[in-house]
Amino acid sequence: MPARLPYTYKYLRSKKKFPHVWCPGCGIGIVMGSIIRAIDSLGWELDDILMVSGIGCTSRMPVYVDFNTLHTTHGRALAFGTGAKMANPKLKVLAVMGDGDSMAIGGNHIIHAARRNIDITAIIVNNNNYGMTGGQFSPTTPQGAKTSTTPYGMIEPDFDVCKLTEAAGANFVARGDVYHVVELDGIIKSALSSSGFSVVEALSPCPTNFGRANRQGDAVNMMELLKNNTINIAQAAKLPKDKTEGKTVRGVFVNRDEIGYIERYQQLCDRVSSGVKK
Amino acid sequence: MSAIPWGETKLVQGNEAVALGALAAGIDFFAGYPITPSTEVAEILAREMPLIGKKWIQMEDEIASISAIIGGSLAGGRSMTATSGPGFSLMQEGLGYACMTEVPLVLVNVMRGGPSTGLPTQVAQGDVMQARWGTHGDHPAIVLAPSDVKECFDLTITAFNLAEEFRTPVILMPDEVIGHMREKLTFPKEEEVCITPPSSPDVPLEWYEHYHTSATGVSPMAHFGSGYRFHVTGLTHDTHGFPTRKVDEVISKMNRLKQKITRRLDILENNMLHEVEESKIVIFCYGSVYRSALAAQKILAKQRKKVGIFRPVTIWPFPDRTVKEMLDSKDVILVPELNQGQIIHEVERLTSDSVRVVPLHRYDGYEITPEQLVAAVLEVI
Amino acid sequence: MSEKPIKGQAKEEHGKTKEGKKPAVHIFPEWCKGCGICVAFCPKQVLEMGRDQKAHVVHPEKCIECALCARRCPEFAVYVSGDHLKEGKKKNGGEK
Repeated sequence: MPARLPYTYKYLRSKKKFPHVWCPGCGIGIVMGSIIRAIDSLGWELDDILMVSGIGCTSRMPVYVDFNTLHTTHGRALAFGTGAKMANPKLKVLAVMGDGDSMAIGGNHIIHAARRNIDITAIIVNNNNYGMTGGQFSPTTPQGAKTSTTPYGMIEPDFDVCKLTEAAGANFVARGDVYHVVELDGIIKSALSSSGFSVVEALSPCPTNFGRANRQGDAVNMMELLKNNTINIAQAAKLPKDKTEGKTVRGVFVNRDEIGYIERYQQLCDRVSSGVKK
Repeated sequence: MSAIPWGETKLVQGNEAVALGALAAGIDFFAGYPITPSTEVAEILAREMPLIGKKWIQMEDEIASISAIIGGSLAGGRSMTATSGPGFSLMQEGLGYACMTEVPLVLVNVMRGGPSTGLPTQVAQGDVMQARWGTHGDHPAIVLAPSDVKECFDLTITAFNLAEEFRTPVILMPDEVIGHMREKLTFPKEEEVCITPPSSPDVPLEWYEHYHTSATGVSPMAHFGSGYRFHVTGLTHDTHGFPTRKVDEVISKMNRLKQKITRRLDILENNMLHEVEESKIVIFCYGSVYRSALAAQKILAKQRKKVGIFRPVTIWPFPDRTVKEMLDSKDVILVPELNQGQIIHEVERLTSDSVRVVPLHRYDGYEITPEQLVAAVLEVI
Repeated sequence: MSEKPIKGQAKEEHGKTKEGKKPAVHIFPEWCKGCGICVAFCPKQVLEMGRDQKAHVVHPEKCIECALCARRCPEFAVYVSGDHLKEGKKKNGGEK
């Protein structure tokens, strides 16, 4: 009896596209699986979903999923997504970006998407470097880290993705990683259910570039690092300060329900088109 | 109360006529960023579009604006943006993406003194070559140049129709004089305006190819959320839209982009000719300079001097065949431009050495006057 | 993917467990890139890397169907039969 298809395969575009393009041990595939499980548990229709991406390793995800998919220019996923959401609010817009795509060239668009609180979920796969182009540093590369463009160690301070997007106004901000994958499923599901702009930073290994340049071992070792160097926000609260020193905190940091941009604009239209001129 | 005074005659600004033309064309989505001298387009639409439940947004920069309207167009909205030189430069990558992914949109570029910040409030025609070759790689280009306020209204509608018809961006390029001037505009009756309906496929979901090869090189386009699920990418792609590097598929995509224009030049070509046939001297001009040419022609006629005027309304694709046929036998072609010489190279390319092509350049931020044209013609007679 | 269930393309491991229960976890060798994550973090050491640099089910009887291997597989090459994955119910093998 042939194996029944895993229920997640319903969301994959076609098996002819697999195995996919990402390197062995790269976490982007794990994030993609997490997104699919979250969408499945929310029971969304394939036709309603628009996955938009910019340029980079993560940006190759849309080609593998059976949604409306849009692979745009570097850094501009959220701007394309804003336009699509405005023109067709029925669409559930999900932007998948890497750390460079969202925080460097896309930085201007993500802070304004957050400020506007546009109804889009941004999933940022943060592997601390530009993988696609061979491992250059990005705005989230830790100080001191080696990359192909910081041969002597990164001198610049890095962004805290979650603090930045929280300050800019996003309704929902959370951080997870691809080791704690059950937690990540839950975080992504909450982000997708949140109105307004929601951000999920998913820490992920890049064994080929970042891992090799910084002697972090193979994919398994890098997963160990995620397991040992991160801590859940609830656990962290229970532990004394020194225990959580130097650990990256995972979990939901912000969960507001400020009005989203689409509804805000609809209210404007209702207000002015009913003859009530400001 | 529709914003457009159908059938009435009003004193209207060029940029206002562009905005009203967009409304007449059924614009669904505008995304833009303030920049002199095109801001009035955004301001008027900011006032009018919410009244009719249409989507308007001011994005964080011009890159975001062009990106947003591409997203909007793919999601089913007739989309437009408006900018000027510096913003037009920022929009080039997005423009190229829209060409490659064959997304219909209208980009209004009101030309001002360049390069760089240049003369923000003053006239120039220095973006002509950028409108053709600004974005990298070979790509189609449709660029229309209005010469009066009525054309700002009409050509905006034409731009939307051509964008839909050819599934490609169309650039409307008034220069600053046309954008900012006011003149009498008699609006057509609403029923006289013809709108090309958005294309939509009529094949079963499984058969849909986003870039189906067809005779005209353009195929009906589904929208996100319409039930047809498809992939769009700026990577060179196959007929389904998936990335490819196969030589035959790359060549067929690039040919598709080229031939959709070259195969239907007749639809795109739009020239205004005044006594070109019977004149030995012709003034070849576009945009606001055409107005000075008309005045100069009258002055010269009084002095019983005959001069023709050849004005391309569609400046890209350039009317090669017509220019060759009609101008290659002339003695002199005077090419006045508000730049240091751009479209003149196209005229020179198409005319033999026996024809004297005389430039007249003005790039100090002011209009070429009829007197300058008269003087230039008298010099060559 | 709307195609029929996978037939020849992905051959799976078909070991039998002690009570004859069909094993819960299946691996598609064609898609496995040998990253070793599933093997390293299976709470019951059900999986091992083969000489072919692919993951293999070696102790199916120990499998508790926690599906962490399937969730952590970047390649969609591992899946656990039984639809408990659907409700996202966490078996006792959740990550520490």
